[in-house]
Amino acid sequence: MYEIEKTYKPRSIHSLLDAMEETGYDGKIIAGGTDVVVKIREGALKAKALIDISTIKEMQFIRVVEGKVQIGAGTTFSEIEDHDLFEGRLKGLKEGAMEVGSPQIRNAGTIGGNICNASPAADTVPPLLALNAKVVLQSRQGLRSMTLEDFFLGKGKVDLGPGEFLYYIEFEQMTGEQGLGFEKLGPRKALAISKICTAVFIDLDKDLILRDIRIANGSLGPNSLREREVEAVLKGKKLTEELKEKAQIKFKEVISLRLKGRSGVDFKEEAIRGIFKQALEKSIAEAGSQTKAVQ
Amino acid sequence: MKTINITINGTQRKIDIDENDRLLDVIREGFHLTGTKEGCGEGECGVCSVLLDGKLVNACMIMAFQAEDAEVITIEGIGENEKLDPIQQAFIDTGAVQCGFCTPGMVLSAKALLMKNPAPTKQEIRRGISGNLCRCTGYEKIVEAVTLASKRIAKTEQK
Repeated sequence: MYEIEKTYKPRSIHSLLDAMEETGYDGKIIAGGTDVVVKIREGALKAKALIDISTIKEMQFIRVVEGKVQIGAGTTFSEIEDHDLFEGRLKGLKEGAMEVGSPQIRNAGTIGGNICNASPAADTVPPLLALNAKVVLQSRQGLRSMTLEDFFLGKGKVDLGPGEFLYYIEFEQMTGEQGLGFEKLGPRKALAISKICTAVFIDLDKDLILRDIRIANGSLGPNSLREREVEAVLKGKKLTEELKEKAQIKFKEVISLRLKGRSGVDFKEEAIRGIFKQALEKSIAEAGSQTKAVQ
Repeated sequence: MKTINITINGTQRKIDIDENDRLLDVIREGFHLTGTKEGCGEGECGVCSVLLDGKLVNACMIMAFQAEDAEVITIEGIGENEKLDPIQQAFIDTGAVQCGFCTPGMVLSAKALLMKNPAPTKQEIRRGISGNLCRCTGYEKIVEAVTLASKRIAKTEQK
């Protein structure tokens, strides 16, 4: 019925690279299995060889190196949820991780898997995009890095070469008056596939000028993506109620155009206004509380 | 086929697995531990929940070969000899067991929750069992059972 002939369980990156080579770079990498196993059984994914990376300790870390937060691809959602680093201003990422599936799925599923599956509805991806995260890929030739945004090539597709795997994700640690906000809309608390999830990163100066803003969405395109047109409405401007309203309207227009003719467009173009507003307010509150803390 | 080592319910065992087997298949058909059920087969219902190296996971979404050298605890592995685990006893006492199909998974979810958080609030309990579906009880009795178990465990530990 299924056709897996060979399985590998490397315990180090070195033996992972060996295993990849041994399969002629045709082996499917599996971590938590929460997507891969189901896809194999549905016949949606054919694999003759599976390479399990769930016990490679070198790929499981959350650390800060020279002002950059680095998360190993093998880090589970539960590990992100439980880590102190994601209290406070990085809470938006933790909130994304907490939205994934169920306790069982969060214990097994990894942030690397969430990215490499390139599901349009991956809950941790919009916060990472809003943080302008980079992916670091490893192969025999060494490391290669690019923005997470460039890594996505469409639904289910990422820019991963045959001998490469995702090693870790990194982003600049937040400083000053920066804030991250996350909001999700789904049909049921647990196990819901996101209908919409939005993350907002802002950098606000003392006069409430938006020095920078990055907005990312899940479930509103072929993969999670940045909303640059909406960002353009806000960037460099003074944050007023009027401006927020203007951005909400722009957001609705963008979504309406993108999802034209698709089911649920009426509901989604309306819902995005509220979800975006909530995520934005959260990011403002986060940035504001940092300002007060500084003073 | 390949042979792997798994510590199942405290006993280290060697077992032959097929490369296409899931951990669930090996538990039920290899070890004949049928307390772990198969429901949806895609991680929605939680009846196949087991503890893998102390962490609650769905055995239907993990391939058997991934569990090599790991420690697996199924519903048969909790409690001691003829004595039920306090969580199992609390499920009986509060009427949290109706048809029983979800019970092994529910009990293991409760176990995982109480190991991490010995005195959970009702909301935390609901979140802890959010990966397990029950179509009989409406969850009320199950939440009650977990609350009762947490109190009983705290009491025994005080003594």
